[in-house]
Amino acid sequence: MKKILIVFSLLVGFALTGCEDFLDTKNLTKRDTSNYPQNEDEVQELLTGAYRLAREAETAPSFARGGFLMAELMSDDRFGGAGDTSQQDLNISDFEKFINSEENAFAAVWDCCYRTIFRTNTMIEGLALVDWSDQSIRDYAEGQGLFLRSYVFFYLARMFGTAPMPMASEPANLPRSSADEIFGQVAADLVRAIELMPNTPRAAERGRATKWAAEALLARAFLFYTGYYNKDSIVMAGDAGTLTKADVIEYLDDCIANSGYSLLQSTGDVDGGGFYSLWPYSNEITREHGGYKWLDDVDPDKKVVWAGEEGGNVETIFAWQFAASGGTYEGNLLNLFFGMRMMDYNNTHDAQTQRTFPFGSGWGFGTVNSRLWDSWPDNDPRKKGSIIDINDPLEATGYIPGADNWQAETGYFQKKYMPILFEDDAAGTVTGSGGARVNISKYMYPAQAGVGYNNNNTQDLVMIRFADVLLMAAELKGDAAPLNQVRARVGLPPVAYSLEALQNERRWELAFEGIRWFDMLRWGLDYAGAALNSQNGVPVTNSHSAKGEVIDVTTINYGDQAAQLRRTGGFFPIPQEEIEKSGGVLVQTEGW
Amino acid sequence: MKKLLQTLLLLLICAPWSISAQAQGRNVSGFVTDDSGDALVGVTISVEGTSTVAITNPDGSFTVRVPGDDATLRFSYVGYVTQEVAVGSRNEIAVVLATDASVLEDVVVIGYGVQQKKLVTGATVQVSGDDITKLNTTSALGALQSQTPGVSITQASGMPGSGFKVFIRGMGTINSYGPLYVIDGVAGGDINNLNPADIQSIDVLKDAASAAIYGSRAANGVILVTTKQGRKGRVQTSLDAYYGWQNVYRMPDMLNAQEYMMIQDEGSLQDGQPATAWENYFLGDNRAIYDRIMDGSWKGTDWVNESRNKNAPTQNYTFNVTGGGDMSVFSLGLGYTSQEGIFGYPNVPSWERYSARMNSEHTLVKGKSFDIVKFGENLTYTYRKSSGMIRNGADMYWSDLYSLMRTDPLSPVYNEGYGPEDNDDIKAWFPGSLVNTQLNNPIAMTRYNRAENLSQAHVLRTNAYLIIQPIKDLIFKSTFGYNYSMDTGRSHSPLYSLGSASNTVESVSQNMSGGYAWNWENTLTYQFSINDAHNFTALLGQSLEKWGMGESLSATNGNPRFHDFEHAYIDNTVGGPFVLNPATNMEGGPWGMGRLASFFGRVSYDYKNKYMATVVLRADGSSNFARGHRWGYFPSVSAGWIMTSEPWMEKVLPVMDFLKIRASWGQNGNSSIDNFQYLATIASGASYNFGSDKGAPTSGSFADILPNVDVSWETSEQIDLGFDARFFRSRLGFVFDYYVKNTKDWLVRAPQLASYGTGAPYINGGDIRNSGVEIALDWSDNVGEFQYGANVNFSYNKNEVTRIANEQGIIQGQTGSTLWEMGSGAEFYRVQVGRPVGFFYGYKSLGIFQTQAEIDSYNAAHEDIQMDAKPGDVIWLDRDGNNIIDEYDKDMIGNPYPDFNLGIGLNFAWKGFDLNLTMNGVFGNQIIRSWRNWGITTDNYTSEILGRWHGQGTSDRLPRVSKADPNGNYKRVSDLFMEDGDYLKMQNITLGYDFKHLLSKANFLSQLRLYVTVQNLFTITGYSGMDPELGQAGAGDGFGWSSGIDVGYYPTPRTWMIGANLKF
Repeated sequence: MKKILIVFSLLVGFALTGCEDFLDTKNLTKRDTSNYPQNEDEVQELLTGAYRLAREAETAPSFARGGFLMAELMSDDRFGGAGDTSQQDLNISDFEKFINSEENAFAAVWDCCYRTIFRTNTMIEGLALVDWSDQSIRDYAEGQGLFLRSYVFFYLARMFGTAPMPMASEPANLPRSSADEIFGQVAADLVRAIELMPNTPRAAERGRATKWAAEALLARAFLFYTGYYNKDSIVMAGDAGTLTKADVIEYLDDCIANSGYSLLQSTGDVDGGGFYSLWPYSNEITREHGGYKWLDDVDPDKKVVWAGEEGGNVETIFAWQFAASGGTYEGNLLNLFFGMRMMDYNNTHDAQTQRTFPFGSGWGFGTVNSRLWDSWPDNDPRKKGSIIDINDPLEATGYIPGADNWQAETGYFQKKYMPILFEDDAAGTVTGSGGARVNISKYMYPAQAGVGYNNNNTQDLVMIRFADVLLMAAELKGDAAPLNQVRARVGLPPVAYSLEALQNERRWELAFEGIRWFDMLRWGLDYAGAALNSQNGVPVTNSHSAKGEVIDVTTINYGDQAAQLRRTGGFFPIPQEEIEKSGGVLVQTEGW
Repeated sequence: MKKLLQTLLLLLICAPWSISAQAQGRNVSGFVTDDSGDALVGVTISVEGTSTVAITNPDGSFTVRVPGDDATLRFSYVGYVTQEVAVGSRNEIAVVLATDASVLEDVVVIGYGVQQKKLVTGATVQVSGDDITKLNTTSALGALQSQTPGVSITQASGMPGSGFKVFIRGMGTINSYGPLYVIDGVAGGDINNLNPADIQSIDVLKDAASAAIYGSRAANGVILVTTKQGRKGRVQTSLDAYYGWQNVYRMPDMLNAQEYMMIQDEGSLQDGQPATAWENYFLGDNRAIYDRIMDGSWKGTDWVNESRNKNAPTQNYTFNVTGGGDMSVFSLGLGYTSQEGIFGYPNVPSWERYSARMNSEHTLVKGKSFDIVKFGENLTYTYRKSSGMIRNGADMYWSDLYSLMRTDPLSPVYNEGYGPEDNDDIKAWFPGSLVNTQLNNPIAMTRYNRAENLSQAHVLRTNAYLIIQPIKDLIFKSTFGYNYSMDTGRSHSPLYSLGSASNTVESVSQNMSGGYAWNWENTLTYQFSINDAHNFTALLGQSLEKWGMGESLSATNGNPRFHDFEHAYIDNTVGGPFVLNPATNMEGGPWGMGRLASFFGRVSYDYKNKYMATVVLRADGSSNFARGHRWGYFPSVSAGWIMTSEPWMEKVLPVMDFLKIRASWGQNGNSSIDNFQYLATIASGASYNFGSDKGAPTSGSFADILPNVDVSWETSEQIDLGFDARFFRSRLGFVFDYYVKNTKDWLVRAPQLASYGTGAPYINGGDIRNSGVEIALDWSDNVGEFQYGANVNFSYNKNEVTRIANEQGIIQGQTGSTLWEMGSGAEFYRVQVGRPVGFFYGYKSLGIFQTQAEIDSYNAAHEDIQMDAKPGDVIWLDRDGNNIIDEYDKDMIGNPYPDFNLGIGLNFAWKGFDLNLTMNGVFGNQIIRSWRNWGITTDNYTSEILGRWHGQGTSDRLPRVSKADPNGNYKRVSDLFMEDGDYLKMQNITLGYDFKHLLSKANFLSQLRLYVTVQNLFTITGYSGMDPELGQAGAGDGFGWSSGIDVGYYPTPRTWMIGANLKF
C-alpha cells in the first residue's frame, strides 16, 4: 500500500512537469493578443475592424434602430411607415409617440457602438507595440482611430444623452459619463486627430477618415453641444484647454479652403443638376436602360450624370462605404428600409415589373410628411430632386397605394436613399435576368447578380458633405455667404442671413440625410417640440392588406410631442438588459 | 418419515395403474426442501422436453408424470438455484434447493474494472442489455427512460434518429450538462450510434465517489456501456426483427377557415375597427375559394394535417453470434435500423443506421490456473444516413411545425387543377397566405428547402487491449483506443418562387468532415487478502487522450448542369468547380484539438465482505487551460456495511435477506469549454471597403473575447447516503439514495456588459446545488407457472442556483425573438441565484377584468395602473407594488425541470407467453407554449382561443382577442403561456409468445418468439400540446440549459410493431 502511494506520487510528479508539453495545443485558426499586433499591417487590420462596426452602428443590422434611421423617423420630415404585419415595424413607429415597446430596442446599436470603441481602444493601445517604418503612417492610423472613437462617442451622446465612456480595452463597469465629459473627450480627441492626420487635400483612399472629416465632425459636435446644452464652448478633456467658437470657425475655414472638397456643380445647364448628380437616381445605366421619366423631362439631353462614388465626387467628405459582396449587413440597409413597400417580390403579382421603376422595393419606412412638400418652395429644384410625388405622372407610374399593408402613407417618398434599378434587356445580357428590372449594383458589380433585394444596395451612406460644411460655417459665423453658395448651386437667388433662413436651408439641402432630427434638438426643445407637433393632423392612409384593398384614411395623431420631448429630452432609452447586467451602475435615460 | 411411508403406499397402489397406461410414462413423486430442511411451497417442476409441469404442495411434496427413465426434471424457484435432476429408475426424489446468492453475486462495471454488486459502495444502476432490447427503441437511451432513477432522459424530439437530453441528478451546470459516456472503456462517443442489440449492459455512476475514477468530465455522472462480449461454450446465434407503423399521437386542433375569420373579426371589433372585408383578399381567380369557404363546402386548409406522413414505417433487424473455446471467445453483431418521420410531407424525414460489431478475446499464454497473457479487441462500425429532415428548433424561425401551425387556413395547398401528384411542378403550389404575404405555402417550402439532401456519417470505434497476469491476482492491462468519424452531406437547392420567398440561384452543396481521436491507458490491478479477512483491490492507472484531429470542408456552387438531387455534386456545375458565381461559397477548417493527461488510483477494501471502503484519487491535466491552471485533483471516499452479515442480524434474515448501508463523498470535474479562453483570440473577417472598388474588401480583425487566464476546472462535489435491501428470499428489492450535489465554479460564458466591447470568455462563474432522493423497488415471484414482476422507481430532485459571478447574479436567456415575435425582445428564461436553472421568467396574471366598473375601481385604487385596459383584458400582477406594470414585475412563472420522475415496469410470463409494460412520467415541471406569432395578428390559432373572454363571465383566464392588444395580453410573456408539463406515458406494452413451447422437438432452436408491441399507447397529461415529453431548449449557442419550450415541437409517435426473436 505504501509502495503504491509512493509510485502514485512519483507519477503525479512526473505529470506536473513532463505532461505540460503534451497539453500545449496550437490555435490553428486564430491569433491572440499575446502576439498581436506584431507589425504595421496588423494595426491596420485592427483599424479596419473598427471601421466595419462603426458602419454597423449607423445602419444597425438588427431590426433597424440605427441612428440614421431613427433620426429620420423622429424628425418632422418623415413618418414611421413600414407595414403592420411585423411587430418590429410597428414598434419603431411607436417611438414617434415616445413609446418604447421593446426593453432592448437599442441593444444592437449599443453593442455596435461599444464594440467599435473596444476595437479602437485595442488599436490605439497596439500602436505602441510595433515598430513603425514612418511616423506619419502611425500618426494617420492614430488619427483615424481617434476619429472613429469620437464619432461613436458623439453618436452615443446624440442618441442617449449620456453613456459610459471606456477609454481603454480593459473591461470596467462604468456609469454613464455626463455630456460635458463626453463632448470634452470628443473635442480633445478630434483636435488631436486633426493635428495627426495628413494635411493633403482629398486624402488618397476613399472611405477613410481625414483631417477634413475630423474638422467637420468637430464643428457638428460643437454645434450640438453648445446648442442643446446652451453653452459657449467645450472644456476639453485632459489639459487640452477650451474649444471656442472661434477655434471651430478656424477649422471650418481650413476645411473649406484647403480640403480640396467643393460643391458638385452641374455639367449641363440644368438647374439643380449638380445636386441631382449626388444621388444614384441620376446614374447613366438606368437612364440608358429603362430611363427615369422625371429626370429625362428635366434633363432631356441627359447631361446630368451621377457623380458616383469615386474620384469624380468632390463633395463627399466622409461616407460609410458598403460592400458589393451580397453578405448580410454588408450592403446599404437604409436603402432597403426606405425602399418602397411593394409586392414585386411576390409572384402573385408582377414579379418582373418593379412598378415603381426606377425605384426598387424595400420595407417602406419613413414616408415623407406632406407638410414638408407643401412648405418647400416649388422653385427649388431640390424639392423634386429629393421627393417622389406619387401623383406626378412622371414618377413611379405603377405604384399601388397601400400595397403590402403599408402604414402612414402620404404619397411622398424621399429619393436620396432608395434602391435604384435598371432594365436589363430582353436577352439579359448584363445580369442574365432578361427583361427584368434589377438593382444597378448588379450592373456595377457582377458578384451582386444573385443577391436578393435585402442585400443588393451598395450606395455610400454620406455622413458629411461639403454643403453641410458651408452651412455650418454660415451658422457659426452668422454669415449668409456660404449659405448662398449652396443656394447658387441649384440656381436659387441669394438671401440675407437669419437663423430661420439657415434652418430652412439646412432642412432642404440636407433633407433625408440623417441630420434634421439632431438639428431640431440643438435648436432647442421649443423649436423641436413645435416642429414635431405640426405633424399631427397630416392626412395619411394605413393599409391592412397585401394589395392595398383595405385602407383606412386617417390623420397623424402623435399626441403632444412637445411634452414627450420635454420628458425625455429627445434621447432614447438604453437597453434594459444592460441596466440589469450593470447591477444598477447604469440607469435608464430619464423619461423612459 | 411418515410422509415417506404415505408416499410409498401411494406408489404401491398406483404403480400397476400407471404401468398399464404405459405409453404415457409413469409418475414420479418426491418433495423439495431448502438447505435448512424446511419444505418449499410452489416450486415449479418441469419435465425437460415436454410441456408437463407440476407444483409442490404446501408440505413441499409433488407428483409429476415423466415419459421414461431418461427424463430430466427441472426444479425452479425464485431466489433459489435451479436444479436439474435425472430421474433414472427412481420413483421418488428428494431435492434440496440451494439459496441463490447470484442476485447479490452479480457483477457491475465500475470503471477500469468490475466489482461484485454487493460490495459496491457508491450509487450505481445497472440495466441489462435484455431489458434494453425488449423495449425495441432505436436508441438505448429511449429504453433507459423508465429504468434508471435519478437519470433524466428526454427525447430531443420525435424526429427520426434524434438524440436525447440526458442529465443525472439534476441540471448541474449550464455549459455542458450531459454525462460522460464510456463505451467499452473508452471515454467519449455517441451512444446513439450503437444498436441497442449490441449492448450487454449499461451502468450509470451517479454519485461522485463512483464517478471519481473518471475525474475530469465526470461532474455530470458517467454512463458506462459494455457491448456484448464473447462467452465460452456453444455458438449461440440470434436473429431479431421488428417492423412498426408510426402515427401522430395527438394532432393540434387548429381553427378552420370560418372560425379563423370569426376570431379575426372579433379582434378588429374589439378595437373598434370594422370587420375585415375578407372578399378583398380573394380577387380574380381566387374568388372561388372565398365562395367555397362561405358556403361551407370547404373548411380551409389544416396545414399540420397536410404535412402528416401516415403509418410511417420503422424497422430493425439484428443478427448476433456469440461463442468461443478455451483460448478464444468472440461476439459479433450486425444490425440495421430505419425510421421515417411522421411529419414533413411531401418529403419524408428518413433515417437509417447500419452497424457492425466484432469483439473478441484470445489467450496467448495460458498458465495452470489463470491466463497469463490475453489479447482482445472491440470494434464497432456505424453508418448512418438521413435525409429530408425538417427544422425543429426552439426558435420559431427554425421550426417548420411552427410555420404549419401559424399559417392561416384560408389558402389551399395546391392551385386549382393540381394535387399531390404534381409536387415537383412549381405551378402546382398555391403561393401562400393571401392575408399575410410574408407567409408562404409551408408545405411547398418544405418541399423546396428540406427535401433534396442527404447526410451520411461513418463512425468507427475500436480498441485493442493486452492483459498480462504475471502472478495470480496481479493484472496489467494496456488499452489503445482509436475512433474515427466521417460526415458527408450534399444538397440541391432548386429554383422556386413562392409568395415572398424565392430561390433565384439554383445551387448544389457538398460538405465533408473527418477526423480521429486516440487514447491510451494503462492500469495495474492487484488483489490480495490478509488472513482471508482483509480483502484489498488496488488499481493504479494512467491515461493520455488526444482528440479533435480532423478537418472539415464545405462548398456550394451555383448553375448546376443537372437540376435534381441525384446529380448534386460541385463538379456538375457549369464550368466545374473553378467557375465562381453568386452562389459560390467555400469553407474549410480544422476541428478543435484537445488533450487530456490523467493519473488515477483506487483502493477497495473489505473486511469479510462485511465492511467495505473505497478511496479514489485522480489527477487530470487539460489542454483547455493555461499552464498553471491545468491540473485538477479529484478525490473520493466511500464506505459500506452489509448489516445482514452481522451475526446479530440473523433473526431478521427470514424477512430481510440483505441490507447494505452506503455513504460516499467525492469531487468530480468538468473542463469542456472552447480552448484558448485564457487568451484574447483575434478574429479576422471584419472587412471594410476602402477605395472605389466595392468588390474588393480590406481585411480587418479584432479581439473576439476578453481573455481569462484564470479559467480552470469546474468541480462537482457530492455526498450520497443510501442503502440496498432485499426481502422475502430476495423477491423484493429496495434501493434508497439521498444526495446533495454542489457544482462549484461552473464554466460558463456569462453575459457581460455590452460596453466591454467584445465577446465574453468562459469564466468559473457560478454554483448550483442539486439535492434529492431516489427510490427503486422491485418485486418478482411466481404463482405456479405464472411468473410476474414489477419495478417502480421514483426520484425527486431540487435544483437551486446558489452563486453567479456577475454583477446582477443573473445569466440571461436569449433575448430577441426566440419564442414569438411579440416585439418586446425580452428574454423568457434565465438563470438566477435562488432559482432553478432555466426557470421561465415573465409577467403573472391575476385574472380577467370582467366589467368597465371593475377596471375603474382597480385603477382608482392603484394610481391608474392599467389605463389602457378594457373588459376582457388581463389584470397584471404589480409585483413591486409601485402601480406601474413594467419589467420589474416579471418573475418566475414556471420551472422547466420536473421535481419528480417516475418509472414503472410490469412483467408477466405464463407458459411461453410474456407481457411487459413500462411507463414513465415526470411531475412538477412547466412548459411554455406558443404556436403563433403574437405580434402578427393574422396568424392562426388553436381551438383553445374559442374559450377566450367574449363577454362578462365567459373566461377568467384567456383574455379577449384584440389586434391592437393595448394591454399587452398576449404580447407579454406571461403565465398565460405556461402549462403544467406533468405526464405519465404508457411507454411500451409488449405481448409475446415463444413458439418453442409448441415445438419441443426442435432441439436446435432455443427461442422462437413472436410479439406485438405498442409504444406510446397513451399519455396521461394536462398539457394541451402534442407531446409533453419536450427536451427542446432555447435557440442559439450556449442556451442548452433551457428546456420545455414548445414553438412547434416534433412529437414522439405512437408506434405499433410486430417482431420476432429467434435463437439457436
